[in-house]
Amino acid sequence: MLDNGIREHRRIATHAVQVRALRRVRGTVLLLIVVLLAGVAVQILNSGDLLPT
Amino acid sequence: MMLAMLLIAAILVYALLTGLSRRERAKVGLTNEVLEYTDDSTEPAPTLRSDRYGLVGRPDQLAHVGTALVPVEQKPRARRLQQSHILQVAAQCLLVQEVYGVRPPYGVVVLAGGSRRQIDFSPQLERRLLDTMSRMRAMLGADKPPEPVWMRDAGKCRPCGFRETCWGQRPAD
Repeated sequence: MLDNGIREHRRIATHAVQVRALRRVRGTVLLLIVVLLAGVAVQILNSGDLLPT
Repeated sequence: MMLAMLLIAAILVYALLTGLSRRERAKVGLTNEVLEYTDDSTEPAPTLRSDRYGLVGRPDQLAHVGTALVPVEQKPRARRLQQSHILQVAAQCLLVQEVYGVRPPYGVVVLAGGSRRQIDFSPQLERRLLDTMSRMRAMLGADKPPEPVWMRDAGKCRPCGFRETCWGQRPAD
């Protein structure tokens, strides 16, 4: 009975650790998206498509 | 072109991670809270102490809601919310307030199957907690044990093997 309770708590703790890890990875991917967006914007600007000639 | 493709791939990965994260958060019983600590063997949650109230406790998880920290208590074998769960979370809210200096607006109890119950940490609940603590201390300090209390609502006394010890040959009903 007690063992089951401990096992359940460990299982939930594992999910909680995954929640924190996923949050960190999502933050990194979001940063990457921002950098890539900036890169794409610079490319578009350099190509002259958006600038008046 | 290469950058645009990378950007699309990154957005897809982000969407996938968001879905995974939502699923994992639901298993822990979180909605809009940001997990701060979790009580596992590798990275234990801090033990909260208050000398003023004579309380010590460690919530299963601590989560951020704005500037406040909210205690989360896991009860994976409980099908319904008990008064003891409410008072336990209230005690943890009081400890969080004492240790971190910000009053938690609520605490969370997660029951079997990930069913989440939000307990508002109201001034009434705080008074009830302090009253219960002082009654417990009075009982512990008394010379004789307290009289038995018939637990009709919780259905605990009727099937209990010690029923006759507490209530004699003609048990209360």
